[in-house]
Amino acid sequence: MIIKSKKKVKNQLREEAFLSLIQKNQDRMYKIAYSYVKNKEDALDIVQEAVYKSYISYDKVKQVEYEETWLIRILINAAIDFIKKNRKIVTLDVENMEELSSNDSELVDQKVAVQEALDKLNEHERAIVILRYFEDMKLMDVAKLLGKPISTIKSTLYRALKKMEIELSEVD
Amino acid sequence: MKTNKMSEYKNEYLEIETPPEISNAIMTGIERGKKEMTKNNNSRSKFLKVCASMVLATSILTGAINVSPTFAETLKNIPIIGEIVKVLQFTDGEAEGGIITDGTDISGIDIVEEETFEEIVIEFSNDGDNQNNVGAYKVVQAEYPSTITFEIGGARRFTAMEDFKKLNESQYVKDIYPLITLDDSMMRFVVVFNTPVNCEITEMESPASLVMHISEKELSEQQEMYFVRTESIPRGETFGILEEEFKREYDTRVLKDENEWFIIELNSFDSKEAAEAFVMEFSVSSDKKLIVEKRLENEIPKHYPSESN
Repeated sequence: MIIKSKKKVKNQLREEAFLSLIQKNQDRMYKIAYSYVKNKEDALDIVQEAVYKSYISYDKVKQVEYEETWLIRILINAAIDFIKKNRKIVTLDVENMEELSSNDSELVDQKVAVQEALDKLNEHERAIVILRYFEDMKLMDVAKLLGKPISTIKSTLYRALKKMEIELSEVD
Repeated sequence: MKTNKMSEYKNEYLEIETPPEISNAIMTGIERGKKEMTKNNNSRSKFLKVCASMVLATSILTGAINVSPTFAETLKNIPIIGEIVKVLQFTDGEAEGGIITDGTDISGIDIVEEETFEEIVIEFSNDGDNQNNVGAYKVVQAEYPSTITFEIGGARRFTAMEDFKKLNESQYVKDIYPLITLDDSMMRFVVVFNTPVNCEITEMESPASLVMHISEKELSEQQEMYFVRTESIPRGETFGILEEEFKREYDTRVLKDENEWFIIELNSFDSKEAAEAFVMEFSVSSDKKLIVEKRLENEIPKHYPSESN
């Protein structure tokens, strides 16, 4: 059955390509998810949801060069959905707090303050800051990933930085 | 100062350690995906296929209702009740929408004719009452001839078949017919146009309907296409089983031929050689008979019954 086996081969290639995409990006996915929810369990739930959604729609990615962008978009959407559904119960990770507590108090204050500064941003501002400054993406790529005009990205980023600067200046 | 703080936060971001449990999260995500895909591949679960995709569709819908302002404007001028859910965006000729329902009756078809366009409204009810949302559905557009195939999940009745005759008045619709569907929780039908058309489809809710906005598309230079198809087969379960078999491997289209028998189209090519090569490769692994048919844009399939050969 040549035609059957072709399909099997195609499926196998699909699996391998998908797994390789996920493995290559798993750290990014976790870091971004964690930045949104700041606790391990929820971050893992977001990663799982993003993997699930990307697996079932992987065939829709037509160009390999865009698959990472596509995956991160799904992840960010999953994180935003998660936050919206669980808006009242997002808390700091207890383990993280313990880890912070073990450091000197000044550093602890600073870290918590920086987290609080990021918390001042809405979900979209946060996505832009993370992608631009922590993932070192170009503004043009951030715009493509989020499906918004670059002018919108720039103005949102400016607004986000302003918010963060105000907060950051308080701990200086 | 800003830069320093930002680089400080970046360091903190980079220090976030990925826990070993991520492997489990990934595997669980993949397993859930596989389960979903397996369901989709099961020919008896076509309804679920459409519903599953609604998980994504619904999340898209909550984010943004996608309505072209021009099109929304034209909708104001026609007597259609309900709220716009979205204007369908087709990817590779396919679009999906709706939400999971059961017991749907595709209850009515109406046509509104204007000079330069027509609106065909497909209505849905449930237990005799208006249905709020269209059941999970899939719409596939194709050419040669220009067709739109509807798959309505959760549909158990098709009262609207009585309204098919209304479409005789249409200047664009050549034919409309139901397709045999082995999945008893789904109804399918095909609208065949007598000319290439621009067709925008809007999903409405409260009450549920699908509105097709049809206008003529300029016919570009006529190009012959070569279709790989089955012989003509009468409507019936044998046809349904055969279609299911092909559907597992190919993006098939079902069409009625000139003598009102049915054919399954497997693939199309712009050269006869390519189509014949496909048939030859197919014949290595299957004893099912396929034929190559040359067609122009507005032609419907010819009748090639196996009995007469």
